[in-house]
Amino acid sequence: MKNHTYIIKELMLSLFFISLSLVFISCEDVIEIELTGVDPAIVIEAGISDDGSVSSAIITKSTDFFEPGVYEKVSNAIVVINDDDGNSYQMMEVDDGEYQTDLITGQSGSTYSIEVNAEGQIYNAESSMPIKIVLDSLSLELAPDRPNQEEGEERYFLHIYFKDPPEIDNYCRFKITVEEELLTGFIIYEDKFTDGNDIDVRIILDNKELDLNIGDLIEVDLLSIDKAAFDFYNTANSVNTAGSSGRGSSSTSAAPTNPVTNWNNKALGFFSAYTVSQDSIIFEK
Amino acid sequence: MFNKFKMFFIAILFATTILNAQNSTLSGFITDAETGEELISANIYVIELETGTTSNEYGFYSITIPKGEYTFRFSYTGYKKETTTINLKFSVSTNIELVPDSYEISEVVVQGKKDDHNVTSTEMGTTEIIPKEMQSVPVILGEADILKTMQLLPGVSQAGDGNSGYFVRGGNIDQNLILLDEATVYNPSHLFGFFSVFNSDAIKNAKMIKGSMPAEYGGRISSVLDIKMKEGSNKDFRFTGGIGLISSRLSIEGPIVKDKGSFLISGRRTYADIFIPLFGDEALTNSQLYFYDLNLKANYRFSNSDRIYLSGYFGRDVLGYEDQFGFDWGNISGTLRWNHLFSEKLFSNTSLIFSDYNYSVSILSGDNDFEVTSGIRDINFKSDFQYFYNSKNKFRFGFIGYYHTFLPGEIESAGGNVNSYKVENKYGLELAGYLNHEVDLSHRWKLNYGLRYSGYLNLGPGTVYTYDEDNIPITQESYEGGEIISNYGGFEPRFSATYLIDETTSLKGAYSRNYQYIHLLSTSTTSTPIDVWLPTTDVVKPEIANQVSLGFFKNFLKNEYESSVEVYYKNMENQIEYENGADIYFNEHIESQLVFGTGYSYGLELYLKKNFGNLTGWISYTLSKTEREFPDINNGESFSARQDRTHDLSITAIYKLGKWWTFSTNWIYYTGDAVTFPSGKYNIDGNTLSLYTERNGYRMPDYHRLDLGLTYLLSKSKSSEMSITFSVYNAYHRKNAYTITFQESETNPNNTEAVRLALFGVVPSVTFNFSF
Repeated sequence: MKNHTYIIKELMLSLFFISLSLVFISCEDVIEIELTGVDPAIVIEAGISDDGSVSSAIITKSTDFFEPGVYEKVSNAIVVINDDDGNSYQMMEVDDGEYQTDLITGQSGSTYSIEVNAEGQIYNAESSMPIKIVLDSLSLELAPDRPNQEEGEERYFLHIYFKDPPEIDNYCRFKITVEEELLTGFIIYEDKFTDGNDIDVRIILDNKELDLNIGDLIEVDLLSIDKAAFDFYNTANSVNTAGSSGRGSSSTSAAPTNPVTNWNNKALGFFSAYTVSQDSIIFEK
Repeated sequence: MFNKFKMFFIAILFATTILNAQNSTLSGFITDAETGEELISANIYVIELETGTTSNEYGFYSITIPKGEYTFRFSYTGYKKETTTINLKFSVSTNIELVPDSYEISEVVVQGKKDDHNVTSTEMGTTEIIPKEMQSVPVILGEADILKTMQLLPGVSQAGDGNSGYFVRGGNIDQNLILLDEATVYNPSHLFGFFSVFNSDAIKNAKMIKGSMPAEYGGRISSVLDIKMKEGSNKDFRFTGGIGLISSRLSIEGPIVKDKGSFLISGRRTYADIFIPLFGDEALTNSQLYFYDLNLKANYRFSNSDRIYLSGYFGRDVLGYEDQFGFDWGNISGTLRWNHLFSEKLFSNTSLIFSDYNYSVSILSGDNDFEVTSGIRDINFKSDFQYFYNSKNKFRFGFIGYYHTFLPGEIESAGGNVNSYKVENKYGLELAGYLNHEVDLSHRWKLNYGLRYSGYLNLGPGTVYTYDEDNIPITQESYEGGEIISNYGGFEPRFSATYLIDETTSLKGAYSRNYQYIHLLSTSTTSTPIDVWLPTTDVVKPEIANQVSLGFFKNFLKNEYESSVEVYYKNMENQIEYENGADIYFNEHIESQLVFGTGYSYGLELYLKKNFGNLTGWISYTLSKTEREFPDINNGESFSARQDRTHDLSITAIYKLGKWWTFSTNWIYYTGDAVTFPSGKYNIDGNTLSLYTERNGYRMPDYHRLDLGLTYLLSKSKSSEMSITFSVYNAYHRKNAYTITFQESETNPNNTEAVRLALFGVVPSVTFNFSF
């Protein structure tokens, strides 16, 4: 979804809920619901980047919804990644369910394919590495106070500046790490309304949730991704139980389905070839 | 084609006039003696012939019988009967004025239309409500509300707290046609369904038809709610209103020229934002939260055969948070109507109507300054003719045309990251012609059958795309203004029959076929003001429904009790859903994101009503099933529609305690909506994602709530009335779920939990009502 229609959607829906709870005696509480279980499904999260770091695949299984978040890891799978010159590289299992290889470095414009052979099933996917987008700089700004805001609950805007390449469709994901902890929620961007512009993406850092201290290191990875990965993250946001990008997965979603995936054989997850551009900033008040 | 129909009928008119030399016609207008207001569906009964008729929606009646002297009885609920002997040697035109029942409220004699109308009429699945019946139903915040009252009937279900709109026999929200003085109302409620846009002080008549609608109605496949407003007293000035805790209303009516013309101004506003400063927060103080309605009407009778009406409606909801966010939406409509009597048997009404619905969101925050708008606009022309051939035959024919302009979305940006963007407007012409015949074949058999032909022309200017499998546009074609891009049409036969088993018992059956050419796309399963109206195009075909229904009707104890059992089956073609992962907002190519399938619904409706006595009220129960089948959803297997309500029960009771107190209550219960909940979860890059299996395989918790109301009459005289109403909405504070969200537990992020948001807890209120 486009960055700014995403903002619009968020704002319109927030307005809704603000206004509803303003006027009416509405309330929110945790309730017991009975959900039927589901056979564990295979989840393959795989990627190749251009920065010389390892190409990796993580293979796990799903679990029933109200069970604790412990996900079975799938070992002894054969994971092979191919480039478009016909070369193949096999990933080695470095930890339970985690496979890696450092023999291949991705290049913009190339198409990569991957084959995973796990538990007697074969899964294939393909991804093209898009043009690199460079992160120009970062800045921090104090956000206006919210109603009833208390000490220590301030919010900050993290500004991410970059230039959108004109005349091409561009998709990005931002991975933001605060003191080595990755923020949850898939923060994504599309240039549908902003093609070719100087972009300032504003991420809200909420001290209520993050506990920011002076001197904290905030690192940002700007990943340039292909449309398939963007579609995955976009649809995954509506089923994401955590993070500010998804308000949990709601019963009001109009098209409640599992995220679109580029795996061919009913695997969850996706395979993505992406470029990385990094920067960091120190948090000061 | 329409011209042919009309010519055919004028020919029949000539022929029959010549043949009817033995008959004479009594015709005229029936009005309220105190205000001059026309009475809709009043009874005119010829005692010697045991036959009769009813007045139409403009108070006009016409009955043609053999020449002679007869006793005519004119009656209407809430009014004193008038009986006169008339020697009908020639055709006579007589306007009748009925006097309202005396103001002693202990009298509960109810005569007139309501007597046995439910048993004898051919109207199936129809309920007509006059405001006298509506006043005592308890609703939120002390105001009688026509939409909430309709939702207490069998087969009509509210869409849930916070949702405007309602479901009729399993149909979607956009499948209900809502008319206010003939103008289409696109969003019938304020504040997310809490209030309707109809000010009940100004309503004269409301009719709900659950699907087997006669040929003069069309354009939506599930139901028609036809609301007629008062015209205003043409005899004296009157003021009616109420002052309440959260909203107030006022109506002013009076003559323009005594007995010939009158006006009505009716307004309503909430002021919830006045209470916001009480929360003590500065930011909220600059927030806005209100809605208003304004109805303006005027009419003038030029002669006994010509009358002109002009009406306008303006309504808006406004939400705002400081300068940063603004969100408002509303309807505007205007109608110009002309009643003309061609003869004592041929009545016509011609109208020109304008109607507009739009919403706008404005955002001024940081560098971003933009406004988003969307809406739909109609210009509509119609002409309807009613030919009262004789006491046993009535014909109705006419045509209607709408020119629709769809504004799917526009972003206007004044600065910041966002570029201005506009999704192209779409244009269309919706046309229909109809012919209907209502006939009493014998004392026991009555038929009401007709044929409607409707069509839709998708017009330029515009660009049309075709798409490949991945929804990438592959071809593009541009059209000029007025060029026809595509067209659809079809016949819509309508049929209903009543068999009178005895004077208080009948059996009825009906069949109807309906087309719908405009569709509402919703961004979530709850209806919101930002849902978008879209036309039929090459890709989106007209929705078509066929419905059959059968009913058994019986009255007991001299019409003190009314009861009915109705069963129906409806199938719907070309239903619309979003495909998986659809890109919904401001999408030029929204059609590529849609998938199509069929739906069907069937059910059993039980109804028992008590009309007289200190205790009155009714019980409605509906048992039903509504399913959808789409090749692209749920692997092609059928799934429950969101609005599948297995059980739907409403109990309403009104108790008059002496002269001054009225106590009322209603209790509603229905099976929760069918929804999609996760069955499992998995982890991607530190994020826990829900795993869905089937579509709508789960249910929201059942909905139920109790409302109570108590009215104390402070004073009542011939010319004025004052009362005070205390009411409680959701008296036992049931937390009915508006949404259920599955998210990480705040206390233990490794666990996930279900969180329910309930909108309306218990809401008490007080309203002071007056009229003079």
